[in-house]
Amino acid sequence: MKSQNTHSPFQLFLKKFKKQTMAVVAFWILIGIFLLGLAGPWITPYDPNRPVTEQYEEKGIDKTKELTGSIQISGIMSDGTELPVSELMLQSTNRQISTVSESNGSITITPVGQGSTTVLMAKGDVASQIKLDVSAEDSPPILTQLLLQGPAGMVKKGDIFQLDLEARLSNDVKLIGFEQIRSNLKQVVGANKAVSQENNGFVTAKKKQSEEDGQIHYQSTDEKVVRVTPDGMVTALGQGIGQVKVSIGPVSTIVPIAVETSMQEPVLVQIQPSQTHIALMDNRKHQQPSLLHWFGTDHQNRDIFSRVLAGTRETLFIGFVSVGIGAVIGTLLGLLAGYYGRWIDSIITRLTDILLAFPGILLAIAVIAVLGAGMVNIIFAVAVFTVPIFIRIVRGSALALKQMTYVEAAKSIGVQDFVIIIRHILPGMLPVVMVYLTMRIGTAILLGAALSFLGLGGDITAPEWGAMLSAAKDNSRNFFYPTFFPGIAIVLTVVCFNLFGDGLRDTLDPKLKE
Amino acid sequence: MARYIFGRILGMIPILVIISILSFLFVHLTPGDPIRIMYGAEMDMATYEKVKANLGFHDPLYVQYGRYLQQILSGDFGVSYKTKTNVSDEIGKRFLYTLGLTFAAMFWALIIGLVVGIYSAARRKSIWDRIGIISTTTIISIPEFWFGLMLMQMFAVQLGWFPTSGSGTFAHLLLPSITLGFGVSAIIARFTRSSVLEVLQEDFVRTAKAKGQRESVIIWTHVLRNALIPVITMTGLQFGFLLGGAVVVEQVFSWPGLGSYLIDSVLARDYPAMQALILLFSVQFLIVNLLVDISYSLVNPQIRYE
Repeated sequence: MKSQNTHSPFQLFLKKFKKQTMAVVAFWILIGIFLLGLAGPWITPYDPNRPVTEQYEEKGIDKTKELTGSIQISGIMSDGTELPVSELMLQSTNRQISTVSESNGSITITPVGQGSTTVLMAKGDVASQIKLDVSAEDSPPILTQLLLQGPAGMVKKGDIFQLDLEARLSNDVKLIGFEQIRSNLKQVVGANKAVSQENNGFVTAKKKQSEEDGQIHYQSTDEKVVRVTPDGMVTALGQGIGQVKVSIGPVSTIVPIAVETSMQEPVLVQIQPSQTHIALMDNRKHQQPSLLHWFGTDHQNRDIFSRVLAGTRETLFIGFVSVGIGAVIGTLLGLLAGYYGRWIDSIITRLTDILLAFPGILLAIAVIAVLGAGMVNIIFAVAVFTVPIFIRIVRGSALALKQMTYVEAAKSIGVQDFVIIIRHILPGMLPVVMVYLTMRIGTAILLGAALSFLGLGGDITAPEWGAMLSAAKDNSRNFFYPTFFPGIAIVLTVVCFNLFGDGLRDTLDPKLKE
Repeated sequence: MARYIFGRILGMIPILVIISILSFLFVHLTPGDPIRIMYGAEMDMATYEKVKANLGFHDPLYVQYGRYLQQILSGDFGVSYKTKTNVSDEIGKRFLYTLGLTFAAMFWALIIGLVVGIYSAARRKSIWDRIGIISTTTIISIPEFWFGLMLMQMFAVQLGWFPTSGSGTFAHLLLPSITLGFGVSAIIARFTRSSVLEVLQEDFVRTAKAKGQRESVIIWTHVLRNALIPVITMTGLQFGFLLGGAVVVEQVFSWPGLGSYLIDSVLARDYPAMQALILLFSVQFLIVNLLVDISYSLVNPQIRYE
């Protein structure tokens, strides 16, 4: 290896290494990753261990508007005029998802938890509802409003007529006519039912009612004036102003019917919100990636970008320490086996073969099964997995170096074994050990992350890439970013280590093969 | 040949003994009292001693080991602490799932790996070769559980083409097997490439070229036959690794195989299950390695074992 050129061996190495473009690029990226790891805790935009909502105030960010929803409400009267309404009865079907409050003709919705729910607004006999999603997946549309089209003018006694019913869904679909509504009702109300059943422990009492929800329910407020059949046929019976109320589940509306008398002042027939569907961000977890949070926030609303940065240090630490321990132990045992040979060699080689025959992950899991879960034990498990590879490499080089003339010369003049190993053999195998050290760090990071992911790392709140993946895996079906970004960080780091290791190998020892 | 196989099998016996001792000592090595784990921590001393005596924990270790050996040789791996079911039944139920997943993964790995490997070797130093090398390095660096999660997110959640987890149909098998096979395909591709490159330097290839045969003919008739022998060995070894290494992927896709059983039992400190699985994986490994070695010497008569 070491040629007798005028250059020092290190400069020779540098000259060769510079030709490996990929490895050089990987090397500089790795330097960048190291610096990030070192600087990590100071350059994170947010504290990686606390929810961002707690930190908005100290950073001077006002997020209230994006987190709470506001909807304008107007009332529609029977003569078609639109008036502002007040003193609404407001109710959020699931208070664990959101709360509502009213002020000056608009309602304010504040999310509490996650999921889909409905907000019911009622005044007298008229009720509408809106659909509310908080950081939830798409849920089926719900029925939001009903409208009855009554006869325009006066009605005579004895007249029988049908009222035109119109229903509006949260996805702005209009269903017109009794039959159309009824055929669509099953799915629409079924969705409602699912929502109300998620509603924790209080459903039992409501259950019966929710089964009736599927019905279109007609009712006359004054039986002397008008009578109505269950399918909406109205019969005018006596003089006066009657009202027919129709309801499906909690949503209802009325229509005034004037029989042989003139219509008096209009009544409220519909409560119309400016939006029938509102989607909000949960202020406690899982914000989408945005300019404010580049990688989004996780299930505890911690900034993922900050956590990935802060995790660099710990992830690299696991990789380095475990490979370091494994390399030291492996090199020692390999030297023993290679230099002394005989029975030491055969025992160590046999054990190495057994360990090498096992897939790394199984070996590591077995170690963790003995030691128990925990970050320190993961480091140890990865080290155990690294040892046999180093034993094998070091033993091979020791066997070769032992036969070198300079080693034999040293032996013949009575130099101690210890000195020979330290001064003559160890330096000779350093290049090979260095190559494998770099290549193994990538593998160690992968293995450590896999163990963390399996839940064997103990603490999953730590900002460490594997632990972040483990913590995010339960929600990975709904949100991609809590798993995507830590994973990309792992891939980038490991690719760089592998490319760098490849380049190092090609420079130092082109004969080596993985 | 027969002598070689016989020798190999004899050579496995000491390893098997070591593994059985390790898996037996497992219960004694791990922190925590197995009896308390099995029957709950609240237990008065008298019952505790009785249970301990019943289980034979008072006997000297070698007596206990003898009993353990007798049990496992008759196929009895004890009763799970956690589910109170027979461990051997549970393993029997799950083994086929892991095997099926492994075969499917190997199928993808071979298809992708061989095509990419042969192509990059045949077009050496072309842009495609470069891309092949870089992408195999990248693929090896991708954590398979993360890749699985991303596949699941894309094809199962966003597009809804496949179920996210579970087992039973071909659709269930597709995503986990692709996840598992993807990483292996990169290893096989690299290996195939270097193996084909090596054979391309042989004399008989030069002769064929001198005769003026077309390159594709040379690759298909002369090179592949020789280059694939080490690839077959490699594939066998990878198959062995996959059988045990499916742990993570099985966990991601809730695949009811041996790997997820292992993780469940480690997390629940279910000693009998852990013991049985570690033993099983080791034996499985030894057998796969043996088969690989035998097949290697069968395919390539030039290889002679001492």
